[in-house]
Amino acid sequence: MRNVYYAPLVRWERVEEIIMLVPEDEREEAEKLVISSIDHVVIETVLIHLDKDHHEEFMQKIHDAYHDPSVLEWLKEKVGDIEEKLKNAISQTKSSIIQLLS
Amino acid sequence: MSKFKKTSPKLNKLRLFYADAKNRFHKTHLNASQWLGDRGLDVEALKMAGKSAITATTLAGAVLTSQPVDARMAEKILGLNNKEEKLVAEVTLEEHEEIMNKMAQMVKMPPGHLNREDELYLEQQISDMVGFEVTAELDGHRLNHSIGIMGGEQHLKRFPTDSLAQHDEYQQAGIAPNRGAFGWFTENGELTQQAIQREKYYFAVQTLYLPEWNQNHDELKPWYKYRKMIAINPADGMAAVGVVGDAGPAQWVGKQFGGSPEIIKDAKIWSKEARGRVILFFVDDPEDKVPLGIVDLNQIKEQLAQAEAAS
Repeated sequence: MRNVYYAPLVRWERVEEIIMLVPEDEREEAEKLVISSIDHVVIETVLIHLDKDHHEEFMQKIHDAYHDPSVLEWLKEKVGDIEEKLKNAISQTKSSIIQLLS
Repeated sequence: MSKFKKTSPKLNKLRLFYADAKNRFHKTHLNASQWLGDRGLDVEALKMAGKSAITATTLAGAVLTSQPVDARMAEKILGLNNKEEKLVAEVTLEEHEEIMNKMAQMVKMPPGHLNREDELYLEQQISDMVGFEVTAELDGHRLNHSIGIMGGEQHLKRFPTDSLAQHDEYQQAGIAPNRGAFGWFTENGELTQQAIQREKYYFAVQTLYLPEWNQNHDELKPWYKYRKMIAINPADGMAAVGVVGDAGPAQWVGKQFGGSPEIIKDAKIWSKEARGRVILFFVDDPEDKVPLGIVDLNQIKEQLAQAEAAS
């Protein structure tokens, strides 16, 4: 679950608790859905704030090493406050999911 | 009898949510989507595409790329929807008000803890609102209550010769005759700015009634001393970040928490609407970055209203 470039930005124990809201025999799929939803939101947020000229480079980086936290370091060089923006987006996504499942 | 197990409503909602996120990405970032498509990839497959990526289970890809029929239908429906799409990360004014209303209802429940689902909801929503992590349980520690009634406390002596006259606000609250349960606020005898702030924004919590308090006193007391917490008053849209500065109130008082005069007054804890009812959570702040003081949650509402008016 945590083998993603943005892993340092996520409170993973809360993600695990979100997955626990779903019946036990559905949790494997729930985990994939939650993580993939976050994957999409993260990419979306990056593409909104990253200069268009760097979009292809970003896509190549995550293609080559989706798990590598150095991608996050590269993003921080390109967009100063990207960490804050990503944390907010991830947090809001978790909130939306919790609201949905409550 | 059908051999297919019925999917729970929760999983169906999650599938729709994911389909929505995927659909929105493809529609709003066409170039990125095409870049992936040119390589025969989607976002899920990216994880498995990297040269040095740890092998993921193929089941993961299979589960997501071969979506159940209802999720595919949902994608079609969402694609036809003319409603303007927004980032899932954006909260509307309506959603903010709904969250505040839910909190206002939850805080009226009997003092204690909510069920884990509601508690998780509150933790996440409040963390989003205030911009830092809050939690009912921290490092395995949990008070006996996270919702309850907060009574007004007196000022506390910060050092042995402290007096009421030396406290600049709300002197009408008086000053406790003895020092607080966690000792003097001064640091190496000095009344630092931090010491002043800690006494200004302190909470009294019922550590003395924790089941493990007597056995683990030596470990628990230093853990709780000046532990950062946040009290939320949803009725008035106010919150206060403070520290544990005293033990109490006594159980016979019928209240579960105490707040310093500044917290009680400035966070409007005893307004007609609030009547002392608060949510009290820990602030997860290992680097001590979150400042003590009052947080006006109504400002978020105003910002959202302005943003919606401008759009």
